[in-house]
Amino acid sequence: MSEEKEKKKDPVYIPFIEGENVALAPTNIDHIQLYTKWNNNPKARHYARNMMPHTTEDLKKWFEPRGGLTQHVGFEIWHKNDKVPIGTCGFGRINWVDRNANIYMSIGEPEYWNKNLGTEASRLLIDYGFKELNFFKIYAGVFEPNIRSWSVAEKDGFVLEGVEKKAIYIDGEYVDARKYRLFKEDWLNKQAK
Amino acid sequence: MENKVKQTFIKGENIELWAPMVENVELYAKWVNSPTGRMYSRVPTPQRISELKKLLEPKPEFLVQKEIYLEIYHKKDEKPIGIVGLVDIDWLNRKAKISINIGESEYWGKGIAGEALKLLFDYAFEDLNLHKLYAQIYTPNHQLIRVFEKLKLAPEATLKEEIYVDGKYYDAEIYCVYKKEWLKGNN
Amino acid sequence: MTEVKQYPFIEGKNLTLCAPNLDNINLYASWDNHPDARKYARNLFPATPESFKKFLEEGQGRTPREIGFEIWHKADNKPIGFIGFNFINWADRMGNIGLNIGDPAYWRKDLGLEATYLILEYAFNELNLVKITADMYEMNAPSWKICEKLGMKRELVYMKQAYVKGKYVDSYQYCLFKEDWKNLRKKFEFK
Repeated sequence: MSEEKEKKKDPVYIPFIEGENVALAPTNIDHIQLYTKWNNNPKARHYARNMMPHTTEDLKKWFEPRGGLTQHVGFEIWHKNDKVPIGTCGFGRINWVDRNANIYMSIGEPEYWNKNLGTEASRLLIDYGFKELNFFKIYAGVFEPNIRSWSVAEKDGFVLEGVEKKAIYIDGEYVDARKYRLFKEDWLNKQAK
Repeated sequence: MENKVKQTFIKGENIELWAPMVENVELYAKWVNSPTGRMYSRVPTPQRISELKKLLEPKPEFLVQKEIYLEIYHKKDEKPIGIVGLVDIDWLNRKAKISINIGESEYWGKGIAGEALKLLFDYAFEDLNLHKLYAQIYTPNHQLIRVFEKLKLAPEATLKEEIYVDGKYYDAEIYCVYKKEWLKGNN
Repeated sequence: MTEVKQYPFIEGKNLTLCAPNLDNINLYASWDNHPDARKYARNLFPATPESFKKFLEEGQGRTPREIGFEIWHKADNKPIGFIGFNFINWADRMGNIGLNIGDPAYWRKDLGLEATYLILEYAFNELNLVKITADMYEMNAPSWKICEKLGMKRELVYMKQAYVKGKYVDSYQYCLFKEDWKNLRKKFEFK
């Protein structure tokens, strides 16, 4: 049995930010099938539409050498104990002048849902955004039915900035989008407590 | 079809800062390669027009700009006389290096560089939200040092034996401008 | 000097919306660069005719995400600005519009109002969109006043969303649904 496992290439663990149960690692082009699978998971994909590309081709574009700072920083979420990647997260639409960005986070493997891993990963990511990337504001857009996602956001201290009505057409009907925001000041104050 | 449209980007008193134009690339090349001009700006190898053109090409959208160049336009004489800009823009640490070249030498010693830099600093701090600007000036470049002194800036550090000119090594002085101080000084 | 050509696409009362003209890219760039426009919009980086050329050339796809028009002043026979869609989500039938009266001589004459009216008509009647949004910074009163006059609703305020002239300012998002436009449009006579 162990020989079989060795034949398949084990995912390589390269932590960039370490948490207790999860770590954030650079995305890896070898895992592209995994990302596409998560992305296309019918349960997850329509809620993530605004934030992630659909096809392997789209994803491959992200791995092209960019030669400098761009508007996106992405990570793989790694489960430390099980030594497997379980999702992706990061910042998109980074505006370096306004010092703000859109945060996205998705646990792709269903067996890792409801274990507070998303909360842990998002906190590592938010800390990184404010303390290392020196953001002033982080924002997130979550579609109304995606309760799991906006619950995590609210737990993290995100404030509802407003609701965008009929923002997107999913499964035959229009759905609202909740717009959340988090200021650096508020995050640091929260941590101080 | 050459329609000369003003590309004013920032207004000043005696000068304006314009978006650089591909039509003027030969002029830019002349300034950058000028034997007297480049001595203290340390452009050691010839700059080709084709390379300068590439700098002016639009970048792919996902890439954040590493440099911004603006043409210095003389209002009264109605012509471009130099280039001022920011290079090595480090958005994460919010700093950039100052670049200035008054290409037309008859405009030296007339306060043009000072005015151009003032407009540049305002733009960098008020618009681009940068934290710090710096310039690396080689000690023989008395003219430019004088410009920075007139802006009430003093060198923050000296790098010893930083450049090689005419058989000798010379020091470089680092001048820095900080957003808080600059904006306070403006009020 | 060659005569400036226009390619009318949508006819209004005082204005015509025309296809963008590659001959005018110097003019378009100068509008984006104009220092006075910084009071309202924010042009961070110097715009060049080359970047316009690229933008116009890329938009020639089958379902272009960005559609832009030159605003042509009928009486004065010249282009005065640009209006269009920054993006269109076809599946959601939603478009985001942007307006720029580039020539300051034409500000405060309700021309922005007319141009926006024409674009809304085009969006709902021709592109079959269901929702239109428009974003602007809080100090861009001329822009959000147009939205309010047309009956758009301020649905979101993004606080301290942008850094402009040394401080953080809010960004407003206005929206309009096709079903509401049917009644609102009756107030105007731009066609």
